[in-house]
Amino acid sequence: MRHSRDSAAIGMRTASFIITAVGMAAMGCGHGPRHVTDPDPSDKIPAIHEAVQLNDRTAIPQLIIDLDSDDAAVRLHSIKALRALTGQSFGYNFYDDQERRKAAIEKWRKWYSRQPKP
Amino acid sequence: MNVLRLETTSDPALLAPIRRAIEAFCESSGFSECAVCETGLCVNEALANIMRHAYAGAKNRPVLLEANFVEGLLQITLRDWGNGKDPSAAPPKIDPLTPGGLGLVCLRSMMDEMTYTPQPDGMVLTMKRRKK
Repeated sequence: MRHSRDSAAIGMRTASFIITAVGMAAMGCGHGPRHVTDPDPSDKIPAIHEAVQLNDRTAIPQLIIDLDSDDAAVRLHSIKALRALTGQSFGYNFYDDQERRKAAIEKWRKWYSRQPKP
Repeated sequence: MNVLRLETTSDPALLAPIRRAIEAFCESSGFSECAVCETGLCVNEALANIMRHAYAGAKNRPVLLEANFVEGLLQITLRDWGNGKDPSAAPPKIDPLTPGGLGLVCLRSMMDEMTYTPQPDGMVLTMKRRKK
């Protein structure tokens, strides 16, 4: 009887630990919640990676906006995420000049406007 | 014409796979075993310099590597969006035991041509090597 009570306590502690660990992983291990809309690239880029891992397609509109970022790193991570989430690229290259990027971004916008909204 | 393009980041964990990719590219372009190894080492050193100096150790910054082989000439460009400082203007530091420690000495002796071209938002390193 005592043995089964101990087992139950251990089981509860284990479950509690797992829930805490999963929660912390989802929040970024000690960081506050991150979001792709964060203007700071040091938060935005990890949030982009998390969106891909979670297959979070709600991030797509912000990722399309970020294809026009002044920061080449944000552009690179955004197009990689969009490719991963949609399988499309529409000829976008993060290293192209602004004029060339503009044409590809327009294709991304048109594509998104045709997607069914939740 | 043989072409390779890698959109990558300044994560040191990527040094080895990028080096393997450029070595495979040189091999497929018909370079000797020695030339393949030397070119791989040069790309490794140039990338290590970008990671350490242009990006000050930040791991998620962009690096674009393009290589092409046309009429016996291999051309490799490495584009970064870092601090834009020309490493060839800095005093030489040689430590062959650390990645990037061979740096410019290695690049200059193993490649036929090496040029840093400052960009408004970073730097382009162009390396050329002719197939003997």
